[in-house]
Amino acid sequence: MTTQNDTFDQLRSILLSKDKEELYQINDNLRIELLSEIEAIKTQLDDPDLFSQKIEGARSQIVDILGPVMGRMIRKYVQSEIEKLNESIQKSKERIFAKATWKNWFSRDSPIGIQNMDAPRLLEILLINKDSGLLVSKYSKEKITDPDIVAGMFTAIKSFVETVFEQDIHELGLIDYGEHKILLQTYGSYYYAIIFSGVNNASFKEVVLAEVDSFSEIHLIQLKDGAVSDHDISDLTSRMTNHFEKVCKRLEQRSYS
Amino acid sequence: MQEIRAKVVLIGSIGVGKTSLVERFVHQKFSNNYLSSIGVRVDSKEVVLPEAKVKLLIWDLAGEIYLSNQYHKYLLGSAGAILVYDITRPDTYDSIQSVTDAINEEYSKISLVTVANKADLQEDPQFKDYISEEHQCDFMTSAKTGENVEMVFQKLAQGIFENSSKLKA
Ligand SMILES: Nc1nc2c(ncn2[C@@H]2O[C@H](COP(=O)(O)OP(=O)(O)O)[C@@H](O)[C@H]2O)c(=O)[nH]1
Ligand SMILES: [Mg+2]
Repeated sequence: MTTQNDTFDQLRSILLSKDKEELYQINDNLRIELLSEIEAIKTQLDDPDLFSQKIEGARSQIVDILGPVMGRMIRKYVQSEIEKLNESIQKSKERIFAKATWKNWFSRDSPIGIQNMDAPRLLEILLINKDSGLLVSKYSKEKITDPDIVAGMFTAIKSFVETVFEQDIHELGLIDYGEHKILLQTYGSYYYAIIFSGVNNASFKEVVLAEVDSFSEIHLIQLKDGAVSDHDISDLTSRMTNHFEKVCKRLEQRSYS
Repeated sequence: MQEIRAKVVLIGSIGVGKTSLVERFVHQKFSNNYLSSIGVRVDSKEVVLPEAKVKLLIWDLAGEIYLSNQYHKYLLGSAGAILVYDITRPDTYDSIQSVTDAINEEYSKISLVTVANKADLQEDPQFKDYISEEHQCDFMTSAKTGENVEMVFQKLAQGIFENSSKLKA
């Protein structure tokens, strides 16, 4: 699908692009103010519709102010957080009014294509050292231009977000870019960045994370902190490819739409 | 030939020229109204030594991270660090002194290179002699003219390579 490749390319170019934005100093007070403002909106409003509206309205303001400060990737993160909020509001509304059932029927009965567009597809898994940001191993369906830089950027963004929000990120859909989602899963001194397309869905996520876990249990024991030889890495990469090639096939047979 | 990948961080006060040095080294270009970086940026370039190829993954940190002492977190997993100060601002030299001490104490395995940047702004050779003697900097650089920029990364890569061979032995 060309659109999918396009978005992935765009994601890459964002990751690899230079920030040419205005000089903008991070202002702690401003940041705290904004975060507490979001909190205030959250607690003040019980009416989902009103909340939805408010947060929609605040979105551009929040993104405008935080954007240049945190860089484009962080802006995507803030956007995705807002989208997640909206999504959950939308869901609870749907539950309450029990509408949109026709939608489900439509997608289930529709000709091939509509259903598959939304089905999550595993594209890439990077295994990265948490501290150094060095790529340890990877499984990719496509060739990445410079996976070392992508791994470094993920790690940098992760550290930065952890610093800003003062907590460690263990498992989080950190980046939501168009049709692509990136899931981070920590495993000891390492973490996985799992990149997939389509709509995030609980059972897909569960299967992938379980596979990542079982792979880690078997293969990561051999990795000792800081002392990974080139031989270990190429060996691990082929095992990872073997393992996740099969997982991919299985996932594609089951349709997680 | 042996290939090594290594994380390297740049440390120094706001405006000393860290981002410009990276730009100079990685892209070979310099713009006078260069805009300061935000957050963290990772770039990469390979340095070829006689014994090995070293792919440097260069982390450029925003000044705020440096000011708030959060740079410690970024030193984790680093094989090298470039400490940069501005030759025209003595306070920026004082400020990297404590960082140098902290790194030597807590992260003894990190290769360090100390750089006095903006050498193009100081023509007086006597002043330059004074700087290199008093400050024990490894290089006087200019991101503007490119002076010594390659040397900084070359020396760092060499240090990283030697450290990694020591670890193996
Ligand atoms: N004359 C001169 N100006 C420089 C040099 N290096 C950086 N600058 C200027 O100093 C300012 C800050 O540089 P920047 O790289 O953003 O510093 P950083 O905050 O340490 O990343 C910019 O206006 C640069 O153009 C240099 O070697 N010579
Ligand atoms: Mg900078």
